[in-house]
Amino acid sequence: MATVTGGHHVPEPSPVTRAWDYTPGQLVRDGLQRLRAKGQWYRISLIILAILTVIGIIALIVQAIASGWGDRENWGYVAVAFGYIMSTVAAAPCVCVAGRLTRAHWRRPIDRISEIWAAAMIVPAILFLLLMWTVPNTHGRPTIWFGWWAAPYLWDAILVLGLAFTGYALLYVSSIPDLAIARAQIEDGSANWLTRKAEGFFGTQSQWRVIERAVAYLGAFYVVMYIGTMTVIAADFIMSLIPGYKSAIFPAYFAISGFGGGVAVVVVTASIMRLWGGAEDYLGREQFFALAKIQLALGLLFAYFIWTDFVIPWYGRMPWEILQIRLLYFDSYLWYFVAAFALCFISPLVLLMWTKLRRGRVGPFIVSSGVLIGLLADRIRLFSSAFSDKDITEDRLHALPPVLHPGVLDWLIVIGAIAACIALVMLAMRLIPVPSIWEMTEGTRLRARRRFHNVEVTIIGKPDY
Amino acid sequence: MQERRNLPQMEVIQELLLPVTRTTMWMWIGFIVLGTILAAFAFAVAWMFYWGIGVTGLNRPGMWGFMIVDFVFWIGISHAGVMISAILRLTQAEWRRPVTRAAEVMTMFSLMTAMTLPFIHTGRPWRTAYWVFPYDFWRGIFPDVRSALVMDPSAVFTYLTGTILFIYITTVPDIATLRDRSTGWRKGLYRVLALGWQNDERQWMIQAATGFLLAALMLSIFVSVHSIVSWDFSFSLDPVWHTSVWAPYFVIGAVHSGVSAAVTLMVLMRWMFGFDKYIREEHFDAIGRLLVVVATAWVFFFMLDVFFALFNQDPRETAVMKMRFEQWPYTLMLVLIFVFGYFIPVPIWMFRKFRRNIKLMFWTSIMVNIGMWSERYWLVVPGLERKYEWTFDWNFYRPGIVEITIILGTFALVPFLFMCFSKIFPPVSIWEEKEGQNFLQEIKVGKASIPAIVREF
Repeated sequence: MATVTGGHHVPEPSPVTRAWDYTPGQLVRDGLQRLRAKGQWYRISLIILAILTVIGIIALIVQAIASGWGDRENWGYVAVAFGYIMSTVAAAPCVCVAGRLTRAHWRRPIDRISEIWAAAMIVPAILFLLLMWTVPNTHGRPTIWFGWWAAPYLWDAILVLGLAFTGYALLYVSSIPDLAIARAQIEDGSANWLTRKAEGFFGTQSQWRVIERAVAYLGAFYVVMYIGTMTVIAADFIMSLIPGYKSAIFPAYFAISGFGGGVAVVVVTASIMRLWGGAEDYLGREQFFALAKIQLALGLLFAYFIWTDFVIPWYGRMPWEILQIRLLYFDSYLWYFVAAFALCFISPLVLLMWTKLRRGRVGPFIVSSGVLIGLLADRIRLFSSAFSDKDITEDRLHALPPVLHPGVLDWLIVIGAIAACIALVMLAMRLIPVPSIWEMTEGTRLRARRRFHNVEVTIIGKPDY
Repeated sequence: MQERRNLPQMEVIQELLLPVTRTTMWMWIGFIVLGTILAAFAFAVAWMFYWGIGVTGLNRPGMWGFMIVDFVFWIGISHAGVMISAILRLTQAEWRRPVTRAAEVMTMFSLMTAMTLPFIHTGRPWRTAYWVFPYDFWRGIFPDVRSALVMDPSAVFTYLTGTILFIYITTVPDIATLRDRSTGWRKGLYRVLALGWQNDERQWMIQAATGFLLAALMLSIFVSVHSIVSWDFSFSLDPVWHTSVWAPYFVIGAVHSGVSAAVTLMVLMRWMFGFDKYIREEHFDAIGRLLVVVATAWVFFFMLDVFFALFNQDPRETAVMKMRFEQWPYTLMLVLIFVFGYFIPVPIWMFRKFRRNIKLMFWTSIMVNIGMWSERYWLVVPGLERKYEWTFDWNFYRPGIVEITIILGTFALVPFLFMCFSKIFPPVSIWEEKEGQNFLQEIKVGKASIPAIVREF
């Protein structure tokens, strides 16, 4: 058990989350303290991220002025930034949804770390609105919309903006009890403006029931929206821009690899929170072990979906299928594919298959960092091949289009977009306690240590609601 | 409200051994009815072997009909065992305990049934053996070893071998229990099969580790088997078959039908063996929640398959799709797929009250498998039933009475074999049930007692 001496926790060498032994009062004090106290490094990081964001915005404006919306290939790396953020930041909240739906106990310290990434959903929404003008209408080319009115623009916009809105709603609703705690406990006037949004919450039984149901339904809806949105992005922004590319597995691959990115974001954030965010008592090996298992499973699915996407045209051997394979896997984007495959599949498999590495904190962090890099390479492979210069009204590829390598402006846009997301999440951490106070408190009540024959084991309550 | 309660260990053993020690009236009825259908099945197969494949409805271009559809269906059902047993074992889900053995056994017998179908389908299986063995690698005139038709038997045989091993390893402690409580030929049989099990710590460690390793290995085989079955179709250039989504789509469809079949089996075991204390409403509740997720994923893949077949408006694909959507009997099948496979069961499973209604769960699980059988037919048969530039001889496929009897026979064969198994080995794992009884705990939160489980980390 951790002891509290003068506000400092003295950690004991325990593999499990030490915060399970906290009292509710300790959890509240600790959560509010972390909300108020942000150190010098926090400010320095935020300034650097703000500068990178501004540089990215300037690069984007320069790009727009220099090339306009007419040349789609100039927007290839804006699409990469959009696709990458959709595959990482937007997927991160799905981790807490999965944990809540399966009633996993280990998820509690992770939930807020996962859903707080919804705070950055404004970034992909803005990038999407810019990119929308680069995608041609559906006349004379393959499409999943089959003549729907205002397709693809209106429907894509509804999905992307709807996803962003649902993400914000999920974050807000699940934060209401913690904001109410902050409103009630912070009496010196320093409570942030967001706590006022929880004024009506007093923790009555009916309010709790509403919160629990709203969090569950919003979460499930978010995941469904995410899969739907990734499906149309895969179809409208990638597949329909490569003549003859018809792979029904591709949207599912795009979504599944996004889930892998989401888990990686959560693992990396949790590692940083543990090291520098004062959450070492909350994030034990238990969380990293569970997340690593999911990462391993998603890595295997990544390979399985890639394989099925590859093997069907490889067996088909029609000339346009061979060109399609050469474009996506071999000639044009070979090294991007190799990087993606090695970091998103080989590395999780080779490292995380060992229980010892899964149980540690370093193994999952290294693998997840690799997954985030691999996923960027994968999104470059996919969006660049889609946005490269070619006639998209042709029914098949007749020659390999030129490879779109990133220029300086492109890198600045991609880095700026990522920096904007991280900055928004850091700002959100000023307003909302991370990890969640109410979920941790609930967790402490449902957990006990007991003797079981000759050993001491953990007993976990599973309310049957 | 949880229905589970602590039971004395002796009571657990006696009650779970009931099917082995006593043949109930329902079992007799089952043996007689299923045996009669199996006799008709044997007659139909013999009839077809004698007169040739012309007695079936198979004809150009539809040379894959009921038997191949049924093969795909039973391979799908076989996915329940691994889904429930391996995944739930690896994730330490407590509700798996009364279900695992029955699901694993269903896997084994479904696979055996599935494997008989391609042999029967050939019409002259002994000639097939004569043509295939020894396999001609060097002249290159036989199907390429890289062909899915060659990979398929390898995968299915590996799956069957793995499943038998898996069942055996997880049954050894129960066989030892039977050995210590039986006499005569049974004692001799159980003594050999129990491999000297003495219930010591080292044996338990080895058994647990082997079961765990086999579970992890089986997972990869489980995915590969139905993927390869799907590649039997999608490696060809046939319109609507040549699609990349079929591998995961077949796997998720298999899980949907397999887990639903496990629900049917759970209800039948409650009714037939009186296992009400072991297969409880909470188990149906948990499996119902799992089915909501699986069914929704299956619908997603179904939509991907349909949408992306039409995506680039290829006339040949559009023509087959049009036939599937507009032509009898495919229209009816489409309705059955959606209504029985998703739109009736899933809204029912969304409600806890209905998930805990045993009869409702039974009928919804049956509905799912009617829908899933139709789905297999809808996917397989129209793919060959098309006209294009080189078609010289063309007709619709209509199954004959011989094929219908064979298919009915397969539906009798699996439960018949399961009942035979239940007469020799316990259909619910005794040791897992006893372990689960030991792990039963409670936590007090305020005035409420919350059911709890033991977790090791």
